[in-house]
Amino acid sequence: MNQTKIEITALAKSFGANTVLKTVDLKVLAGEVVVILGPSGSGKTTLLRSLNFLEQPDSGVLEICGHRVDVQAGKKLSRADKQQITQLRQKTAMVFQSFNLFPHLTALENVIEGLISVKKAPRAEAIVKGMALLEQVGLSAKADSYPARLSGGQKQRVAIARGLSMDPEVIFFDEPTSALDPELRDEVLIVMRNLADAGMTMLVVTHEIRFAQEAADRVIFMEGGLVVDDSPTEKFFGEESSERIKQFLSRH
Amino acid sequence: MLELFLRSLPLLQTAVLVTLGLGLGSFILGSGLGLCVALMRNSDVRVLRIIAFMYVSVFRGTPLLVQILLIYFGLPYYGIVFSPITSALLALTLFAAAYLSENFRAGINAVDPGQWEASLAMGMSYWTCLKRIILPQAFRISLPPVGSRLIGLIKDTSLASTVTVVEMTRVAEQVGAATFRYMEMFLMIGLIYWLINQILTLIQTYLEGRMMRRYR
Repeated sequence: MNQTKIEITALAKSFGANTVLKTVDLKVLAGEVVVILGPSGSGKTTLLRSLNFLEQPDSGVLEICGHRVDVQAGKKLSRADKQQITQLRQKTAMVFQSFNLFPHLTALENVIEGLISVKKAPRAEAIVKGMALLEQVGLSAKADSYPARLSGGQKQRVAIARGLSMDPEVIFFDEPTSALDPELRDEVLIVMRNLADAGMTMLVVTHEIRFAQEAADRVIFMEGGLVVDDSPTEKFFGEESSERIKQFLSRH
Repeated sequence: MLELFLRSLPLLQTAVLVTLGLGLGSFILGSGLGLCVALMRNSDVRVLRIIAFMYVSVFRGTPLLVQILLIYFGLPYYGIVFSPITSALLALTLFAAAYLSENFRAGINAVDPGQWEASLAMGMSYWTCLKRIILPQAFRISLPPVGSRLIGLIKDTSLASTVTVVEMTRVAEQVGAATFRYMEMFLMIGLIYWLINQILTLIQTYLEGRMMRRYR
């Protein structure tokens, strides 16, 4: 089971003169739940978005779910690289802070869109699977509702079901509860907890310290475009943590 | 006025069909071409962007009448001869595409970038994402200006009368010349243009309501 799902070496990314990721190494094993914490502007979200190339890294070697892309500074991606990217995207799912549900499609249609248009599954089959996933996130009653009629928490749960529909090997969560009212956060966190308990490999950027404490195997602390700490959860929240981390945690 | 209307009815019937054919035909063809131009304007490829920019610049920046006259009277000098109807349809299509491309581009660019991200993150290709996710939303946003464009086109077909196409305006001129009842004839066809466009407006309003429903 100790299969490596993600291995990144010397990942770097700048936006103009602003260096967001200096040089980041990261390794995630199958079944691990890794939470990334850090102050705003530390590069957490950029790191996550670089993994599925929503942001194009400047340089670094990324190996994700068996697909390797070697990004070299100043060189364009080859056709083969782009194929690797498409394939690694199909093996990973992403849950966004702003949900990004498709507003012209119902909840069920959102969930089965990838099955139909990417995996080319027959519609009837996709619907069966889509309903099961909506059931799993507690929203089968909302299958025919359009996103405009769903609460934030419901939207995010549909988005998670949409991600799960592709049978991902890893799920990236980009601040999945930051746009939600406090009362709505728990329903999303519970779904995430269940996934973690079921052995899903998850990489979670969040400000939910409690979620990290309860669900993470490892916590990564980022600051200034660098991974400054990468520890097992207990150690991270324990006494021997650095002053900087204690200070950060005390503010949350 | 009624007996004049009844007398010119056989001519008007064909003329209305020609007007509708020119207007709707150039709208449909122009939408296809306009969508291509819009996508080229948004392309990563510089050359395509430049071509699209120049296309819009030329066909939106010159009068439709000049374009019609160029195609009908100008091109034959180079051995390219189109019938009056084809000339008018071609000019209207090229002209419509320039405007429609801007309407479509505005619609496409107004779709939240997060929609692209969510689609690409699940491994969808550019074209699949465009077809299934982006364009359905872009068309809804583009609908009011595109509807206006169609109404504009219906009226612009009157310029085809200058190259002897027997559409409504030309019929009014001919009957007017034969009967010296210009006032009544032009009022009559003015009313018909208005009626056609009123029906189009109702269809647009209906479509807007239908497409809005899921967003509320």
